[in-house]
Amino acid sequence: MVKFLFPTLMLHIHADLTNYRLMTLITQSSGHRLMIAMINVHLTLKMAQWLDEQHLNPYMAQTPYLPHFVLLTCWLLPLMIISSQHHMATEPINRQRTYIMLLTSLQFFLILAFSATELIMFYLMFEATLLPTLMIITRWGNQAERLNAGMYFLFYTLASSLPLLVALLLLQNTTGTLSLLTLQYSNPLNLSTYADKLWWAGCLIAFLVKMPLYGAHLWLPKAHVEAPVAGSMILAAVLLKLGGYGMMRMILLVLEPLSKELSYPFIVFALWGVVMTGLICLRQTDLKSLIAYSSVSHMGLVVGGILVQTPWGFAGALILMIAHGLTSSALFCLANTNYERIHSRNILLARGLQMVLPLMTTWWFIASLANLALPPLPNLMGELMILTSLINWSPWTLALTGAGVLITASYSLYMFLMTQRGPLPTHLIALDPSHSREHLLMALHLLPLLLLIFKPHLIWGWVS
Amino acid sequence: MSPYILAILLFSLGLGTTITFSSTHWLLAWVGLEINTLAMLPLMAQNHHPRAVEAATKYFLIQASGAAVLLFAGVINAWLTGQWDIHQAAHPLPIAIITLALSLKLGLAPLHSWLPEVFQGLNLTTNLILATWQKLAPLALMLQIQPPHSSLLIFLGLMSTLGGGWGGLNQTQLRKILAYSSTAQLGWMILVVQFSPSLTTLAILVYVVTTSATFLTLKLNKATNINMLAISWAKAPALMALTPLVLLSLAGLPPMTGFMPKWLILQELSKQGLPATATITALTALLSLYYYLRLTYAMTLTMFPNNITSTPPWRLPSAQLTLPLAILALAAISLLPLTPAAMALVAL
Amino acid sequence: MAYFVYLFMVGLVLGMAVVAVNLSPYFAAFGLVVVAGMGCGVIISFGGSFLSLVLFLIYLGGMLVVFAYSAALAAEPFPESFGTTGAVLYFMGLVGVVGVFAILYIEEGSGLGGCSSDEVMGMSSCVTEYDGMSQMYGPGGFLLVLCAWVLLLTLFVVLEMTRGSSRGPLRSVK
Repeated sequence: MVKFLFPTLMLHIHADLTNYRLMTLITQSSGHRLMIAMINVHLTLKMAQWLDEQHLNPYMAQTPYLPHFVLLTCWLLPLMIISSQHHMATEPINRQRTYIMLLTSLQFFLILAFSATELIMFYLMFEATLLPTLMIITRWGNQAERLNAGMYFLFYTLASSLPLLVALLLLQNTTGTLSLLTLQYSNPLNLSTYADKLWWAGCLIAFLVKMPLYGAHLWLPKAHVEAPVAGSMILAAVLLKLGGYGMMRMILLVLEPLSKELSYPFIVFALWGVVMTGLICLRQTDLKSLIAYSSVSHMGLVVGGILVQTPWGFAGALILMIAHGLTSSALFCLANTNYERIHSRNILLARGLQMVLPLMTTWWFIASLANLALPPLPNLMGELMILTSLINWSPWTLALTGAGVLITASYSLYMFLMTQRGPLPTHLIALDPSHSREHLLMALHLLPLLLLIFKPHLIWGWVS
Repeated sequence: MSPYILAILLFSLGLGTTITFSSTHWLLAWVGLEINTLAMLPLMAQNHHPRAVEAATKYFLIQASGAAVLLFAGVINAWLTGQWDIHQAAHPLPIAIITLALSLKLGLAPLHSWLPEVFQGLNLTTNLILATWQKLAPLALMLQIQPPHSSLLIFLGLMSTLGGGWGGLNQTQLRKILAYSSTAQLGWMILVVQFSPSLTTLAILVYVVTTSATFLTLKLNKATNINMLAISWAKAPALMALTPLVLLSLAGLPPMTGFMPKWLILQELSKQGLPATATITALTALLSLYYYLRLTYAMTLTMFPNNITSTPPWRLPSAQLTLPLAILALAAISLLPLTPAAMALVAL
Repeated sequence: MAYFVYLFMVGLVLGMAVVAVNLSPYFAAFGLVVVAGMGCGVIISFGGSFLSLVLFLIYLGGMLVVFAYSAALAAEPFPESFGTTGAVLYFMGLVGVVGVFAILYIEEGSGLGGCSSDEVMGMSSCVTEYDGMSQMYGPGGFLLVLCAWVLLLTLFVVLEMTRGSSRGPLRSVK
C-alpha cells in the first residue's frame, strides 16, 4: 500500500517545489505518476497470479478485484495532467500548482477509497473525493453554468450518501464491526421488516446515484459538460466506478438475503435507462453531453450486471467498468482536442475533421468502436457477460439490452460520422495540427484497452 | 474605551462563564450568567453605533429574560424538591422550563430569531465572542441537567438544524449567515446532549475552532456581505484558496474536522435507536451546506471581475495577527484523522 | 391584620398595573416605588421584619437611581399621565384580569395562613438575622466579594453605556 500511497503524497511536495515552468511541472508530475502506476501494474500482475488477499492491515488491503481500480486511478491521473496542459498553460504558476495538487489529492483519496477494508473508511474517502472534484469542475470549468453543475454534483451525491452513512452506522450496531475482513464471517443478517428494506435501499442509493442510475443521473451530464477535460475524464473513468465498486462490496458482503427480491425494480430501471439514455444520445448535438449520456447508458448495464449477482454478472460488470473507464476517458480527451481547436462542443461545428487531422481520426475510430463494443475489445466481453447473466435472470431483458446495444452502435457511429467524415466546412481550414502530446495521450488510453484482450484474465476477477 | 475598563469587562466575561461552569447551585449559576451578560453589553455597544446599540439592547432583553426564566425555574425547583443543587434537579416542570430558558439564551430554534439580528448589528470581533464564548455557559448548564422528555430536546435539535439551514438560504449578509450557522450547529449538539454529553463537548470544541477560523478570515478581509467576500481574493489570495475548506468543514463535509462531531453524533443517534432522526438531521445539514457552498463559490470558485486598481491590496501587510488564524484554520481543516484522540480528550 | 394583608396585596397589583400601562417614566418609577413598599408590607405581614426592612432600603435606593435616570434620560416637558386615552382602559383591563384570576383561584381561608417567612422558624438558639449575617461574612465571603465585584462591574457598565453627551447609546436608540 505504502509503495504507492507515499509517492502519491510526495507529489504534493513535488508540485510545490518544481521550478517555474509548466512543461517541467507537467512532465515531471505525470512521469512520477506513471511510475506509481507501473508499481501498480507489477502488483496487479502478482495479484492476478495468486488471487489472494495480501498486504493486509486493519484499514487497507489489496483484494482480488481491488488492483484494477487502483491501477485505473493511477493510470488515468497522469493522463489527466497531460491532457490539461493546453488550458493550464495560460494560468499563473500558483494556480497550476493548485490544480496539480487537487489532482494529487484526488488520486490519494481514490487509492484509499479503493483499498479500504473498513466501510466507514471507504465512506470517508468516497466523500473526500467530492471536494477536489467539485473544485476542478467549478473552479476550472469554462462556462458560468459550471456553478450550477457543481451544485448538482455535490447535492445529488451528498443527499444520497448521507443515508448510507446512517445505514452503515446501523450495520455497525448490529454486527459490531464494519471491517470487510470480518463482516464476511459474521452471521447473515435477519432482514425482514419494512425498516430493513429501507436500510437496504439506504445502503445502495448512494452508489446508484453515483453510478448513476437512470432517473438520478441528471447531475452527470451537467458535470461532464461543464468540467474541464481532466474533470470529465476522472468522473467518467474513475468516480463512476467508485459507485460500482461500492455496490459490489455492499451486495456481496452485507445485503445478501434481501437483494434478490428488492433489486428487481432497480434492474428494470437500469435497463430502461440503457435504452432511454441511448435514445437521448441519438439526438445530442453537444459532444461532451453525448459521451456523458453514453456513460450513463453503459453504467446502466453495469448496474444490471451487479444486481443480478451471478459470478458472470460481477465479472462482466468489472470488465465493462475497466474498459469503459479507458474508453470514455479517451473519448473525452478527443472531444477536448476538438474543443481546444474549435472552442465549441457542438457537433455541427466540428465536422469532416478527417481532412485536417487524419491521425486523430484513427483514434476517434478506435475509441468509437470501443464504445460500441466491437468484437475483439474488452468492452464486448464485458457486455456479453452481463447480457448473458441478465438473460439467465429473465429472458425478457433481451428486449431492452438488445435494443440498448443496437442504439449504442448507432450513436457511436453517428458521433464518428458526424465529426470525422464528410466535407470540411470552410471555417475549419486553419486548425492547429495535432500535437504529439495528444497522440501520446490517446495511445496511452487505447493501447492498454487493445492489449488487455490478449490477457483478459487480468481484469475478470472472479471467473478464473 | 479605556483599556482598564476593557480589561475589567473581559475579566468579568470570563468570570461569569467560569462561575457558571463551577457552580452546583442554581442561584450561583444564574449569577454567572448575569455577570456574563452584563460584561458583554458595553463590548457590544462600544462604538456607539445605533445598530450596535440596538443589537446590545436586543441582546440584553433576550438574555435578561432568559436568565429570569432560569432563576424562576430554579426557585420553582427549590420549592418543589427542597434543594438548589443543579445535578439533583429532578422535577420535570422546572427542568423543562430551564431547557427552554437555556435554548433562548443559546439561540436554538424556534427561539433563535434574535440571533441573526443581534449578529448583524455587531462587529466581527464581538460576533466571534458571541458565537463562541457566550455559548459555553448555557451549554454547560444544558450538559448538567437531566432532560425530562427526550422528545423536547430532539424537537429543539431538529428545529435548529432545520431552521438554521433554512434561514441562511436567502441571506447575503455574512454575519446573519454565521448566526444561522450557529443555530444549526447548536442543534446538533442539543440532539445528542441527553445521550452523550461528552459528544456535545466535542461538538462545541470543533464548532469553536471552525467558527473562529471563519470569523477571523472575514475580519482579515473586513467582509460583511457576499459581495465583499467576492473581491477578497485581491486582498489575501492564499487565504481565500484555503477558506472554502474551512467553510466546508463548518458544513461537515468528510475529509475535514467538521465531519468528526457529525459522524459521532449520527453514530450515537443510530445506537440509541433513532435512525430516522439521524437521517433527517443529516439531510438538514445539506441546507446549511448550500449557503456555505454559495460563500465558497463567491470567494474562490469564481473570480469576481475587479478593476486593476483594486487588485494590488495583497501586497500590503495586514494589521491583524495571522498566527491565530493560521493555527485555527489548520485545526479546522485537518483534525479528522485525530478523531480517536479527540474522543479520548472529551470522554474524561 | 388580614385587612392589612389584603390592602398590601391590592396595592401591589395596582402598582404593578401602573408600571405596566406604559405611562411616562416618572409615573412608572413612582409605580415601582409603590410596588416596592407594598411588597415589603406583604413580607412584614408574614413575619419577615428584617428581610422587609433590608428589601425596602435597597428598593428605595434602587428606585431613587431609577427615578434619577429616567428623569434625566426622558426629559419630557409634558409627561404622559392617566389623562391620555387608552391608559385608563388598559389599567382597568389589567386590574380586571388580575381580579378575575384572584376570584377564581383564592378560595375562602386558603393560602394566606399556611406559610411564613423563614426568619422565626426552627428552634435556633440565636436570632436568625445575626446567624445569617455571620454566615454571609464567614462561609459566604466569596459570594460577598463576588457581589462587590458585580456592583463595580455594574457601575462600569452603566457608565460605559451612558457615556457621552450626544452619543450615549441609550439615547441613540430613541
